[in-house]
Amino acid sequence: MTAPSGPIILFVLLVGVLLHYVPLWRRQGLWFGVTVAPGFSETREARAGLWRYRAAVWAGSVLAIACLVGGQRAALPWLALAGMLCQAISATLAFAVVHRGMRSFAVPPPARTAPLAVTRERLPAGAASVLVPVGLIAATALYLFFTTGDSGLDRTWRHVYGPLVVCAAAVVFQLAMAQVIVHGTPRGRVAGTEGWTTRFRRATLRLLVFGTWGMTAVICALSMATGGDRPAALSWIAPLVILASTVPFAVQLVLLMRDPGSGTDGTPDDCWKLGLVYFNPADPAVMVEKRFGVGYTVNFGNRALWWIVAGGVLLILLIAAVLRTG
Amino acid sequence: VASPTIRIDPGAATPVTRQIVDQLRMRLVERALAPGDALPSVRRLALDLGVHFNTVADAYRTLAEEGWLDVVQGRNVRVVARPTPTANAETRIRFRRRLDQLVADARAQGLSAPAVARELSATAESLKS
Repeated sequence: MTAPSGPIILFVLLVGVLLHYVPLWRRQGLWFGVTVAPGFSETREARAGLWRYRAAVWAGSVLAIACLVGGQRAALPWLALAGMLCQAISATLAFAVVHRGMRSFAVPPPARTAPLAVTRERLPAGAASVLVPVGLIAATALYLFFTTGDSGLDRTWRHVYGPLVVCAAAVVFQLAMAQVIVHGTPRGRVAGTEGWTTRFRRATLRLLVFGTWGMTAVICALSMATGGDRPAALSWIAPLVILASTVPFAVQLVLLMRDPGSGTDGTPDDCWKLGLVYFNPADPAVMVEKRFGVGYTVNFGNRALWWIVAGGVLLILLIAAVLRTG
Repeated sequence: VASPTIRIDPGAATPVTRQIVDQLRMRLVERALAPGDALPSVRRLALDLGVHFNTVADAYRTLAEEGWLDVVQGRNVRVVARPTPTANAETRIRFRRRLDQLVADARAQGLSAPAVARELSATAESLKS
């Protein structure tokens, strides 16, 4: 194995840093996925839990780096993958263990509230949220249709349109997720947290919609510039577009997590398996806010979810079949 | 003006449907919800409260039967003008009995007689305004 492992080691360290801080990106009334009293995070028990988690994260990260270096020296590429898997598993297990320890400090969940106002929520850019990526893909497909014949290159249908088909599937998935957040998540179940929840939902939707635009623009540009005519500037413009369309919104989400008005999410602690997986058949929400990490996770107890999963699997199979025949 | 909200306690002895009905009726009587106002759909309110759709649907149905709401398929829910029924002697007796039970319950939980009297006076004052 001769590939340089420097960038991969840097990536592992970056993931380690992210995992180091993830438990702090939470609603202020939660600590390791448990509903706690205000100010609990400053107690000795809370800090000890955080220290244990971080120790496990860095032990996993060091192990991952050792596997990377060892795999490179022994020419065992799978060892590098195993190392990175170890890093993820150690962080997840550490979170689950600390979560279990924190359960004894849990306080009863507050009463639930709901606004009686009727509001029509939409995606951040309205119809443009859908029209922009669909328009980009359609325009690119038309451009390829009229120009690939003249390129003189021996390319199959799959090579010409394959990236666009995969991009279209990713667009459908991401925009469907945005719609589920609009129509299938609560607007703030605890009194006083409605404003924060609204800001969090908007920030998440902006990340999804504008991230989709960035991804579509890059894939379309790369699709049009396949073959030997790819402009050199594209190699730095493409990552720049991806970063510009995601990083500001991701940072906004993380900053929101530091807002003291976030309270708790109103989901029962008992329904969070290992503090990571939400399973509540009595809750009609298809998605709820994550308790480990930033964003939304699915409610595995909701039967509607399984229809969505079935639809997703069908879409993936369909795309695989289309690309295979191309 | 802040929009009215509803508050439930899933751990309380009172069934959630009853809690929703009682609170909505309170908002309707107080005119925080006036005729013509739209209410969230069954689906939206159930999502926001984290309770089953049927719980909210039952609550809306109860209030529709009392003449407060017009519910079309659980999607469009509107407050309707409701003629005030004429209270008879039986209604007054029933109210008095419930009030006595409520006072007894409060005192059994440790609220002193003057404290209960103060609360009742405050309620009486708010009815005058």
